[in-house]
Amino acid sequence: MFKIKETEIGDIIVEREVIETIAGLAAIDCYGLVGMVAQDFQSGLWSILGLDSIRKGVSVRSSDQGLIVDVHVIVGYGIKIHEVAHNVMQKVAYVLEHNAGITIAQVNVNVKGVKVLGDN
Amino acid sequence: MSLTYITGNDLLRSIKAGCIKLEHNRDSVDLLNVFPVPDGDTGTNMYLTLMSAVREGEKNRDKPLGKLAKSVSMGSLMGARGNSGVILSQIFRGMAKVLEGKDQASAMDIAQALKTGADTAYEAVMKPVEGTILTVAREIGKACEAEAKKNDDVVAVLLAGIQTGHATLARTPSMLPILKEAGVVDAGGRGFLFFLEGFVEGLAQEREIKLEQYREQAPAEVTTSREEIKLDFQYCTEVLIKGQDLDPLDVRDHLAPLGDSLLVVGGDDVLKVHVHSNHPGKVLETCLQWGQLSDIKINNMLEEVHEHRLIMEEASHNQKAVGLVAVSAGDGVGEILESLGVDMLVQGGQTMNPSTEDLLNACNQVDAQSVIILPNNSNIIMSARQVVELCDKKVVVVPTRSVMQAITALIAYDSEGDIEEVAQEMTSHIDNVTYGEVTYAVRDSAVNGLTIKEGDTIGLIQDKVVLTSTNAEEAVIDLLKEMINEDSELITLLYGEGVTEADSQALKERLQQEYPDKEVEVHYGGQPHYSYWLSVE
Repeated sequence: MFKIKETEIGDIIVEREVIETIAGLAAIDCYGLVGMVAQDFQSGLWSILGLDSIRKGVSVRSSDQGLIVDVHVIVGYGIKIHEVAHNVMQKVAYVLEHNAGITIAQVNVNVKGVKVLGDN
Repeated sequence: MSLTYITGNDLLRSIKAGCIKLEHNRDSVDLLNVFPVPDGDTGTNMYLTLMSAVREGEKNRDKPLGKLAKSVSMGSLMGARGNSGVILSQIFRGMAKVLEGKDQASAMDIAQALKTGADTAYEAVMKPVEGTILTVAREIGKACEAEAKKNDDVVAVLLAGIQTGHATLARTPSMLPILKEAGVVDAGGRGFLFFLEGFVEGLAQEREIKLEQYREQAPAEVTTSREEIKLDFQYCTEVLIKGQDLDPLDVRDHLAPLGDSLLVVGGDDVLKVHVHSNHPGKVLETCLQWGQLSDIKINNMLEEVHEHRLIMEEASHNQKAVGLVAVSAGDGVGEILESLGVDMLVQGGQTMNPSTEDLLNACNQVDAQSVIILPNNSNIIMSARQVVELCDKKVVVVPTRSVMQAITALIAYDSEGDIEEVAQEMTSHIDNVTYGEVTYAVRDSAVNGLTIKEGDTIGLIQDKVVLTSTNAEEAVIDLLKEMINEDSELITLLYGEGVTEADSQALKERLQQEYPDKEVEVHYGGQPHYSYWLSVE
């Protein structure tokens, strides 16, 4: 639970899941990102997520400067990784700040895999 | 003329031209940007990505097409900037896959490359969004492939793709609400189209193809000697660039899309640039990248034309009693007719007959109480006669079947006389002249006992085919043998399409030797399809 705004008549509180979902959906709009992954805590293995569980690829922590968002992604082979990662950062930060009014301190993109596309 | 394949060099030059076109338009693309973050740099990102692609390509400029495409793809990958740049690099990657191992690419290869490029770009996104550069690229690929199935001309295939691309681009706001809200089309798609447009223009320039011939034939235009003069490019811009290791060719490539009448001359450390453009600021800004500028001169050519016209109008604003409308083909022919007193020219000729309406409009525009029409082609005489009934002014047709007859008839023209008398006098001169034409056959046929193959040079006298020949000059000489008799005094030649001034001068000298007692005149006519028009009187 994150308190994103305090007013005289009450506070606005957003569940962690909501932020994760928004961040996840924002990330998969980005070109070059072909999947998101989540770590299974029991086995320690990473598994590829489907569209309905996309939020599991995002983890959120708070800090003094605002939220720190970590996204775990798979990119396509033959695509400039740092450009895609940069796009993901911009997009996630923009959507969270603009649509949800949440102050973001960091967006960290963790590239957990690369996928060979098509007949390459 | 059709271009059935392109080489690696063509590809590189065209990509560079596309890159430059985008460079000149990147501000307008940036302004469209709303997605995904409104930071407004799609045009710049695509341009920088392409720059990197071109730079890598130029390192491999001598390699075969497939290798070159691969290096362009690598360059775009390494230099990819922003979402649109990354997508562009994927399109190039798909294209390089198709072109791999090829030395040259046919229209179908190019179409498939574009299609595979779009498909490849689609693979690298989890949730493709429609209404973006992806959609535009995919539709372009499809359209190119469809066109390539029935047409093997690379330029035609690309133009078909661009046309569909524009239609798709116009639909992007209805696919993507965010675009509709902002009232814009997709920036990436627009940028990609700028690139492709530049690509085709570059290809056409490299291979000396006129893109106009692919546009649909416009209705016959009425050009006038005194009415409004339109300038495509208004500002004459001149500047000196002072820098180091300047490459005139590179500078020319960058400036070519900005205007016409382009000249870039000079050495390593100083270049003189002259160009007619509508954006002198862009010209200067572009030139700045190579060094310092000096001796900048910008003239508004429209003002000069206006002043010139005012003087002309003051000198000649008296309504004529008898005006003249003539059908003309070719710039030289038009100038000759105007110098002989024709007020209004209607463009047309053997393959493009002007309509009655075109002729009627021209008659109405002539500042005269009555008008004589010179149809200059047997096929146009009928439409000209219809104007007589339709026009409020008194109109008389002098039935000239060739420009050569018109030139002779114009000697009897008197702008202040009575129209009937003037027309009669002019008509009586028509038959004093024997006219001939030299052209080429458009299909196999047999006429007057001659067997003619497509492409043969043929000679006509008074509209009848009388001989075939190996080249235009020989045909003229053979025709003259038939046309000249002892009463002949003057031989007139107008040279047109496919003939150089040197050719015509050489011919003139030959004729003077052959007919020392006759006078020989040679003028530039510029008429299409006919190498020579000649007359003997």
